[in-house]
Amino acid sequence: MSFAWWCSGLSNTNWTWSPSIYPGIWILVGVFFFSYFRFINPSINNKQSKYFLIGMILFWIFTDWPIGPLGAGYLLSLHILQYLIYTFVVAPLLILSIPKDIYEKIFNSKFAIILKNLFLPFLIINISLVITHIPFIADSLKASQIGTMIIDLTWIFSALLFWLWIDPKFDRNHFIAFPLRIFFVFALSILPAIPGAFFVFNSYPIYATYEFAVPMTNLSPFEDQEIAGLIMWAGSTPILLFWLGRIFYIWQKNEEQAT
Amino acid sequence: MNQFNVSGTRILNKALISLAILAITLPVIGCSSNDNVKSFGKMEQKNHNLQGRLLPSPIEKNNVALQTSDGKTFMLEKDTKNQVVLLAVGYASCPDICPMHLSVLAGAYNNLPVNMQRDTKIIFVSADPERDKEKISSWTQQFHQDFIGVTGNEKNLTAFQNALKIPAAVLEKESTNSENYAVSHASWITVFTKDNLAHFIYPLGITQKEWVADLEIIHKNKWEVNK
Repeated sequence: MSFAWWCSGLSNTNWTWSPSIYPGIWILVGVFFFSYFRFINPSINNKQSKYFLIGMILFWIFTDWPIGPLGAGYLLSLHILQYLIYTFVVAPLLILSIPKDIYEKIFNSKFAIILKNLFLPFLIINISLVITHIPFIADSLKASQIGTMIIDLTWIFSALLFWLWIDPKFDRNHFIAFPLRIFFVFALSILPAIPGAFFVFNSYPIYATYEFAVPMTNLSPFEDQEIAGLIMWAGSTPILLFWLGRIFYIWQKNEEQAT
Repeated sequence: MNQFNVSGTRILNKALISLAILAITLPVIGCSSNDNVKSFGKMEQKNHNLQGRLLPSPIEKNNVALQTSDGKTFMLEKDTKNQVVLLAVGYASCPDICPMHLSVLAGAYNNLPVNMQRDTKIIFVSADPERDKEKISSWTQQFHQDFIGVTGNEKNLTAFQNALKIPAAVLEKESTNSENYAVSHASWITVFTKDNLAHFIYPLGITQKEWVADLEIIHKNKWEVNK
């Protein structure tokens, strides 16, 4: 059993199923729990606390051992799956867990300058996607625990910002109209397809981290990269359909109420 | 939430600007690709355009008898005459360098044109016959079916490594009955060109793309063939 602050891509030894302990991840999960139940507690209902618990459990599963270190250093496909789960599942669930009055307070705070600055959250989430996938940057960051932590935190916080901005409850009084929300949620799933295409159509492994990883399955680094590209392309589709269906449903319900 | 009122046209304009910026920045991923991946450092260039290190004097192929797992005799000089050979010494239980080398070489080999594949042999010599005798060929072929895995008796393995000017591998056994031990071995790949001489050795850290580029040069170069 090994002990490290956070997982990293230092995969120059073969993978073993001996668990590792990452206190950094546990502390972060603890901070999330403490903040949620300490500061938001009085107004949360049962449904919201369930959203929070499911979101946090998924975050923990996809960040801690074994998925965290496997994604950071051995399998690009798992790394991409982590991105999709953070972006399309964990972040909206955590935002859904925020009670309405707290949500409005956040929008009325000074912090809301970012949220009201129209496309900034959309830009932030996509630019963070691009930057954390540039080979030189990704390989350099994944070589250290701090670097891997930066990638994970960048993904989860940019996704939280995006969903806070777009509001997964799809309140009709929100400043972004329903058609635009459909557009942005759809666009969020389309843009990762571009790096996905580079994964699939490149003849060689893009990332040195995975190219020089000791193979842990019969998958070659190149095949793993192709799977990662396909996950980037199609992996988000079912989740995307769920969110689009939800927007359409709430939109239609609102229209019916209005008429 | 009346603080959310913003005109739709303004939103749409900004959306289009945002998408245009993203469309410009996204291709950065593809442009960078392998040009920037040098986690393990790059070989010093020595008056040639290859990634490998030029040996002070070339090494000849030898005819020391080694065996495949099914008992067939393998002799480097005889069985790979006038072919490009990439040769590594290691062991199947190796936790890092050997599977890393073979994984990268398999990717590079797959990217070679068929005629070059035909003229390229990738040989893995196990310095741990006790554990690898039965499995070395199948273990090597897990990486690529064309790869050749061989081993031999202690005497021949030492002679083979000496002939290649490789420091002989050392079995780090704590006792003679020990089954769980490491083997210290050379970590580079010796590359024989078509003249049946090794002019270069390649360290760990050469990417698949670099291997393919170098092998294309090695194949096309008019190395003098020993007759």
